[in-house]
Amino acid sequence: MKRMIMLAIALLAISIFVLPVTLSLFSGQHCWYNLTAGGNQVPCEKCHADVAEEMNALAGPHTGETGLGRLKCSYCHRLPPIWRRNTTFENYTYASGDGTGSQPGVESHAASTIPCMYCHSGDKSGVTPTHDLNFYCWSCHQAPNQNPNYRPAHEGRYTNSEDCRRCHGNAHTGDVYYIPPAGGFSLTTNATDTGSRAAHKTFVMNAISNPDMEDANEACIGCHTKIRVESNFNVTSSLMISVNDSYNLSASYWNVVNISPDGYITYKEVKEG
Amino acid sequence: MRKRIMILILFFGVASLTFFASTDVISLFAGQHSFINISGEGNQIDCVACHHHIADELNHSMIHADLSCEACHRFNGTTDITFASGDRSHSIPGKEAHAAYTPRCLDCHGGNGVWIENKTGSSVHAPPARAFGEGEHYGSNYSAHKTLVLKANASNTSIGENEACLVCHTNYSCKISYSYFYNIDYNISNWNISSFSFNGTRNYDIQWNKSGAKHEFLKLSDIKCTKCHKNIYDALVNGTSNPSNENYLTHAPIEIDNTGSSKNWDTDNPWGHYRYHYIPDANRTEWVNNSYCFRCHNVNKYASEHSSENATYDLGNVTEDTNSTEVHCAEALTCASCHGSGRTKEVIDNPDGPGGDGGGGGGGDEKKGHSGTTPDFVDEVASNYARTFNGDICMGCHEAAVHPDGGGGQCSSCHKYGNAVVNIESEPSGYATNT
Repeated sequence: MKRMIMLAIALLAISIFVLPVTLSLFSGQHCWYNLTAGGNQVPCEKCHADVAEEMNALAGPHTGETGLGRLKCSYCHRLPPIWRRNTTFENYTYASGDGTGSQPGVESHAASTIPCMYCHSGDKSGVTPTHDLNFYCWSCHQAPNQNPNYRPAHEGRYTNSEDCRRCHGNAHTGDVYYIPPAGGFSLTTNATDTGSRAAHKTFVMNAISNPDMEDANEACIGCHTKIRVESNFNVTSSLMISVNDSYNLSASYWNVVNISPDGYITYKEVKEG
Repeated sequence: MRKRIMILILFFGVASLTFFASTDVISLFAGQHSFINISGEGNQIDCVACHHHIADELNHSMIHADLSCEACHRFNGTTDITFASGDRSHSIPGKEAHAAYTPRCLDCHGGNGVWIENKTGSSVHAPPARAFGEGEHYGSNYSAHKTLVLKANASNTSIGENEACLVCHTNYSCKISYSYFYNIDYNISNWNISSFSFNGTRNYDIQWNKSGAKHEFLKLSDIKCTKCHKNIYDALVNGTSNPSNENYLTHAPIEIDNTGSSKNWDTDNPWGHYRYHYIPDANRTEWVNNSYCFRCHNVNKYASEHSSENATYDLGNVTEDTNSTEVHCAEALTCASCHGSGRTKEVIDNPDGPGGDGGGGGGGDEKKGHSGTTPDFVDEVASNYARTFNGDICMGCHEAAVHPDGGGGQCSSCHKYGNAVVNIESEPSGYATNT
């Protein structure tokens, strides 16, 4: 037994003596990503695999229904400047790692959580005229006079047509289109978007004032995604009606003087994810 | 004990390693990046996912159960609402509404109604809500419930006039608090009314308890007039008990009853038909129902649904006397509408009256009552007194309880000379004195 212990100590001593490196606690922490190229080289999916999984599971809006692949994380979470937007939504300055032209972030470093309405609050919709999906977008849209604000499209953030097409193209139809505004709540820049009859307007307005998510996102994703939603409804179930017989000697009519809610029923709705 | 400690150590060790090794961040709202594809035709966002309760109500509904959510809530046939539509290339941003709107019932049931597609793809007609669907004035002023519709439109509980529609046509419950006069007094002398007065205030509350479900639409036959007008029902069925004679039952002249103690009244009316307003005592509870209400308050409807009575009572011409073709469900009318001078059922000699062919004795004009008076007594009542008093003025004499039992007394005082001193209470009591 003693001999075994002595042997182990000797081996350990030799190992430490000959070992030229120190064991790091967090392996890989010195393998730096090269950020000097255009765009984003930090793989968001490394930490957000669950989000990537959701995005890859369905072919819907933002996730490849157009046949051009799902949107990159940065399209939404490193928002590009968009001219056609409701300007109540801010542009953010993100940190960018281009070696010589790098910029430090201002409102955000790598990414931000964003209002859906940032991209969906414009005034143009449908297929854009005179565009071919296979055309090289940047060849025209880099010229200021080819853009409504006389600036390069998205301030030159995207020069690769693949990026353009993922948001603005549809491989199935060959169309190029404007990002569809979410009209009907009076939140877009279109003057005809009054939202005057919208059934879910209070839902959207309360979502805006709710701090859990950006802007109206609770309402947007509540309907447009498979997120689980629990709603507690409290709805009127009874009316109180006051009716006075209004009369003098020669004339009378039944005057309904008041109608007001009198009873409520409450129930919970659960939209499963 | 030692084993438990080992398990705990092992648990914490594994948990620590898991956290250490994991690079994933757990999202707060799972599923928020699973976007629903809305690029197809129609609506792909499942309304029912958040509105099971309403879908369940609609499944139990007698009307509209064949309609999808979108048929009503994305209806733009008459509203010109632009809803958001998600076809990617040809998407339409909403204007007045995004996914849905809260419709006015009259959006579909106004004007001549509209044709809409049901769940099976068939085109179905939404019938016009007669009178109430006719423009901004809701049709004629003869509709008994027009003020309800006007007030509903002015109130904010529901959009448009919907409160009025829902309270009758669905399982939406209601309480109604009525306020009206308690009684009237008047004297008649030679078929002229004098000393008329209305007195006091009667407050009458009703409660029609239903499930409260606004998407459970009722069959028309399940809309019970007597639920909201229980005071009228009670006046016609219960009234005020009178142990020595007929009970005091008011609102319609249901007075003549061959079960009366004198046994000398038959059940026909002056025109020789079974009495139109009469309901035998044993049947009142059941027979005072919508159909009975429509006999007077919607003659047109009653005639169309009862061909035999239509022929017997000449209801086609009676309908012409009324405004029942211009109302939604009920007409606000007076006795004079049918029984005034020149009307199909104008007051005629009563063959059962004293001196008439019925052998009542007394002779002379006593059988005439107020038939042929100039000016016409019934028209005078309608012209000079508010509609709300008209029925009770008539009931002051035409209520069975106020007729002296056994045929004694001075018939001619009332029947020939038209003299009476009357006090009558409003519904539901109907208590009256006639001396």
